[in-house]
Amino acid sequence: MFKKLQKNRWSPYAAGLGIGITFLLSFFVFNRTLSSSVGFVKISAFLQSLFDENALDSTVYYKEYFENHSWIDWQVCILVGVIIGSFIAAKTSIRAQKQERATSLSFGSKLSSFVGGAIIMFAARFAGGCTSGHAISGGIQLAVSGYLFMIGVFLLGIPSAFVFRKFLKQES
Amino acid sequence: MEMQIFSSLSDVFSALGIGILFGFFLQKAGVANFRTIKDQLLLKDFTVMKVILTAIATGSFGLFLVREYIGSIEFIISTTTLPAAFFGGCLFGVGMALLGFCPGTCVAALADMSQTAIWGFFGMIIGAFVYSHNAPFIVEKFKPIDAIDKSQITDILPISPWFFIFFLLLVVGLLWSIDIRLTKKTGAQLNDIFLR
Repeated sequence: MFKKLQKNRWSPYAAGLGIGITFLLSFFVFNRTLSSSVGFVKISAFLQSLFDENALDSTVYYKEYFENHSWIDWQVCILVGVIIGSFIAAKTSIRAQKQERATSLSFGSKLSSFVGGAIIMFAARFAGGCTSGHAISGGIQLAVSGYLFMIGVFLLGIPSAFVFRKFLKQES
Repeated sequence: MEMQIFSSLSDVFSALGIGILFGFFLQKAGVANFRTIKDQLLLKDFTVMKVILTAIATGSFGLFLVREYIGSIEFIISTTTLPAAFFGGCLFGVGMALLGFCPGTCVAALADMSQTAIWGFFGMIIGAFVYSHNAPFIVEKFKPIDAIDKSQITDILPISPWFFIFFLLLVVGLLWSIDIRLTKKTGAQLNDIFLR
């Protein structure tokens, strides 16, 4: 049994079960849902405030998310936790996951990743959540918005993936 | 605005704990690798769909079980409008096809020092910046307060939550049994299914 838990990749059903239970823990013990994208607003605000003292006061959207007046809060700690948890899972595996080679990214791949990231986060904030907040947390609570979000992701994501494979010649 | 460094310590530690569990399972699911997510969108590998569906099915089963037998619960649903959720999702799909990560899995992949994830992470900070600075306009145009919709499936369809949850469980069970059959065909051991 222990050997099996150490496999570098679990069955998607086992991992999905784990994520479902994580949500329940978060919901019932801490009265929170899983979220990933909100933490990025705080990171953006922090970086901007390094250059502009008035950034927080002049940006309405930042203010909304800073009620508790602290930098390192629930949303940011979730992100830090995800890195730690992912690291533990990778390092305790019997065989390390095959990693991408560190220096293999072309300029084009870097650019498309960067632009992709920007689109994703803009879209997530526009939609009011990402895969964690909408698809999983919303889906579990049977929220209509969560399911509409998920339908949208696959509706445009699938054709986009085929188009990008054809025209960007992505190294994957 | 005066800012403290930390919010309450209990917040910090509980969020770290939840995040660690979440990141652990994301890594074990194999979705901290952009290929898994791109292969899902290219319909070559259905891991992402299986993980999400299983998480939703088991989560909602547990959630509504508590509501049924222990006590009422207050749902925490995103403050958004349905068109914003849908069109935001569409745009999100385009970005996911380009990067191969969503925010959570991108952060999980940072632990592997994935170059793709690092560039995606920088992009996400810019995306958050751009949204934050256009938020008043966007909210006014696309997310007016009176259009905020937190309705649930059971509000728009005349079904009980259990009907929907059993439907989800059925779909997961069906996918699982297909996987078992395929694995049998290829000669793998049955007890390898759950923890492949």
